[in-house]
Amino acid sequence: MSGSRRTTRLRLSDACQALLLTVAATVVWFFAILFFGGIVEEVLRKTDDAVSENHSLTYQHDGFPIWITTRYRHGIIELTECRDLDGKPVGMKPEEANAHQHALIDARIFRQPKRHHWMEDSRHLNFENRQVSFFERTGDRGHFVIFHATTRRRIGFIGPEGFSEHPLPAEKQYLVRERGDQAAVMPGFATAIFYGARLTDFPTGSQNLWFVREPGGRRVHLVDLEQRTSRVAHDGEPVLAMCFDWQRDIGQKSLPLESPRIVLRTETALKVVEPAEAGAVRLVEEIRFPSRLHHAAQLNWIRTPDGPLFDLLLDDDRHQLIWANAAGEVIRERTIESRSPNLDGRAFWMLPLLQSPLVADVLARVMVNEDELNSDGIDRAKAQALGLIFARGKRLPIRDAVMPLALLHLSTLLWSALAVRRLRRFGASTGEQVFWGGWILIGGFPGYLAFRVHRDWHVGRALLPVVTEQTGKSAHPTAAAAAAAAAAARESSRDGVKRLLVRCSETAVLVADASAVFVYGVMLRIGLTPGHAALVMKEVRVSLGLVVAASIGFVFVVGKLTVSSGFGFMSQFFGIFESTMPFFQMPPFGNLSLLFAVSLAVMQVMSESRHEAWLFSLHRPISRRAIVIIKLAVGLVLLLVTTAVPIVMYSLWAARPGTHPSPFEWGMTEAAWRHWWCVPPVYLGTLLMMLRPARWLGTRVLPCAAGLWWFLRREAWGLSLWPIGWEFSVLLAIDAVFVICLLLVIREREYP
Amino acid sequence: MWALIQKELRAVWWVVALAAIGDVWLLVVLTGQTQDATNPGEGISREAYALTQMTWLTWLGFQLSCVAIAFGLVMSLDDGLRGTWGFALYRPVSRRVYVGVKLLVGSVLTLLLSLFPVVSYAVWASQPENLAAPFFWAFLQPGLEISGWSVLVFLGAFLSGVRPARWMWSRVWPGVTPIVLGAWLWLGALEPSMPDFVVPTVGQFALIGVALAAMYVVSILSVVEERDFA
Repeated sequence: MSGSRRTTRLRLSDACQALLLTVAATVVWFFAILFFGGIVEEVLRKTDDAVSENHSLTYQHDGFPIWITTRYRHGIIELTECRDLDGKPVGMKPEEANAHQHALIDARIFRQPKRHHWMEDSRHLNFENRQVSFFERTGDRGHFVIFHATTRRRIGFIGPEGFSEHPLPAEKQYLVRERGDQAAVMPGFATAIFYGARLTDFPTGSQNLWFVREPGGRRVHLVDLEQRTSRVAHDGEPVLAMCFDWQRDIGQKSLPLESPRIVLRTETALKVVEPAEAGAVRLVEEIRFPSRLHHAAQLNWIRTPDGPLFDLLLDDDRHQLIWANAAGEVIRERTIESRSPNLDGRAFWMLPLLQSPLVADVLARVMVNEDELNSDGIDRAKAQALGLIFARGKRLPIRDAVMPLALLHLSTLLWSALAVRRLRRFGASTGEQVFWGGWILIGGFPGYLAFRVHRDWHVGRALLPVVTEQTGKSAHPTAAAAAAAAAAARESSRDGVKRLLVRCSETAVLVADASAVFVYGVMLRIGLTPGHAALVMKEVRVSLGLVVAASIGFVFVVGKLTVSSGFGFMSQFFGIFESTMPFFQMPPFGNLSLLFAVSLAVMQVMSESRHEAWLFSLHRPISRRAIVIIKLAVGLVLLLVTTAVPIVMYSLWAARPGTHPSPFEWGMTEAAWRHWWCVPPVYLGTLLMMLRPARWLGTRVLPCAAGLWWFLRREAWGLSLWPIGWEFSVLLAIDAVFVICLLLVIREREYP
Repeated sequence: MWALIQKELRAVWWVVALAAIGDVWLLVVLTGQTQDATNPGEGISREAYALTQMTWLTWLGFQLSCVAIAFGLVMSLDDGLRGTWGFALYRPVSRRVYVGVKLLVGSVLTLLLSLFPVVSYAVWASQPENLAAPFFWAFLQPGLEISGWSVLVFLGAFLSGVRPARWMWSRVWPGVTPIVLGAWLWLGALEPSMPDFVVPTVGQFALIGVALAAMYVVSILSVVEERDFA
């Protein structure tokens, strides 16, 4: 930016750019941490088996509580270990789990997230049997609306009195709001999941059954959208929560009921009712629960052969199990604690690594009070006002955060000091020094990155007289400029990072030169003329960097596929699947191969265009045709060899006994080779695209698109089912067409 | 002034054409006029209700961002590629006016082309028997927010285009910022599990957008004033 009209005053645009660039720098920095953190984690890990230790409570058929402790995973195989409350291993199959686990959450504490008010007036319920159902609100009243999915006409409306084909007047609709209390319109399945509660694995039922709990809870309606009926499930003592019991026990098995029972939770008791004739309901049983559970925000009830078992969540780690009888008398109770490796105070020591005080402070706040993070769907303030017992999230002691945060904030002083030092060296005003120093104390390292890039800081920049807008005179006296020049020169010579980078690039150039000379020698040995060999050498030298980059990529992919230690982080960035049977699914070489083919073709042509070397090349004593043939021959050889190596490596690994627990036949690699042979048309198409003199918005991209289209659509066209020889032959013909086109283009095109 | 506007329109006509084609295609798919397999998101169909669907809104955000980025980059780089900065800056208009016209034309075009699919779809959906769903105008909120935010994406891309920095490093940063913040606000609007204390309200969302737009304009004008276009 030399010669620009930059001043050293602090201006509004500096503050604006500070914010805009810091956000982006934070993203860049966090991605870098994630990427390199993933690599370090995977290198340190001894085995690729994903092991998770996570204690979650579940119940056997007889009501016996057990922990699901450890999950092992290798590829697609998962194993689960269970232990009883005393830590002894127990075996439990999924079908032996208790089918009567009910989570009943107080409906009064449900709330809409604050940016979801646009969804208030209508809510999509289900889409089944060619009908679409919504709950539609009209002020303080509401009703169910059913549409025909095909004709898109309203079939009718459901209110408390049942189905009607005509719009319901307000008095015949459900009451949905009264004195600040909202109705709860809830599905009859997976209630706990719906409310974002901590328990999962509840029996699910039909999406057609819905509850409407009117404000105050004195009346609860049961709505069957399929049958288009509505009946009063409860009228009397206020109901706080409700759900279905879908299962009935036959011996040790549980089978679904055709008509579910309804579980209603009042403040003191659970009432189980079932639909009866004439739209009525019949009380099946009533279970009073212990008084300490009256104010539980979430009541977990497990029906066991010996009576009700209640699971009161005290916090993320602790459950209080209460065995009681139907009269509400406590028979036995036990508080159990999970040994899951949840967050502990040591987690705060990750914060200094972030080097972003603002983000770290917010994270620390969340870690100190995790409830704020898990606030979805539940109004915790209201729960507190109602005096409900609510399972609190893990709360780490704030004293554990003091030292890490202090370290973080102190370390940002370093970045701040570096920025101020630079600003002083470049003669910045006091205001600018104060602003950037303060900003970096908030933004941390990303803030410092933003400071460095918000304007050009060339080493020699301080030499230039900074021209102020007002006077147009030099802001630096000549002596000061000379001193600054000397300081800048010293800084330049001391810059170890720059020297290292230069040395690396020089080494890379030496290696590229040596490789090119080696190729040149080989070409001469096989009988090429020195002119042709020189062209080959040039093409190899141009493409070598890309070949190395692609090879590194393929090594990572093969490393991940062969479950080699240290490559697991790849799945976090490229979504590579794991399979225990090699080549059972297509190995993910295709995307990388495509990228390599396109880049190679672009690089080969751009290297000529960018350096304006076309005229030089075309005036050598060698024909145009030879130039382009050598270019594409070198490209094709490099492409085919580079993309074949990973398939061979992966096949050789798979063919070795003891590397994976599945059979392997060499024929299983056929699909991979078919994909491999589909890449050359993409390369040739891209090369043709780059050489053809046409409009980019017109026909120029068509050859590349054609090659890609073939690659992407071959499965859909059924070509993968052809005999391999046919497909290879067709592709060879396509390659030949591309080559002919290339030769035509190179012959006729004009090169300025 | 009109000549400058005409010049900018001529420079970006092809982006307008591509964006219009994209908008029309989106409307055709959403209104069920085709069963093309290139449906932008699984589950979007005439029977479903696109205005409130995360899949559709995500696709809309992606498409509008692409259009906005194209506008920003084309308008900021066009003079550089054609070598006309020197000519343009020696006309009897100030740099501020010249770049201001670019920003104005780009913002208006981005906004219009972003609003077109949202409003058109809403008008279509509001007609009885076009869609198997009730219609409330409040459903437009997320779509309108995405449309408005695309102007910020345009400004971010424009700033990336005019900033003298390396493309492989900090030049793209101003363009990244609105996308990152937009993703966060979009998640806040659609994802119920986002904690409330990091999610702005509708009014705060609008204020953040306006404040960011002002910051971008100030930054762009400042960069253009300082940059050496020789």
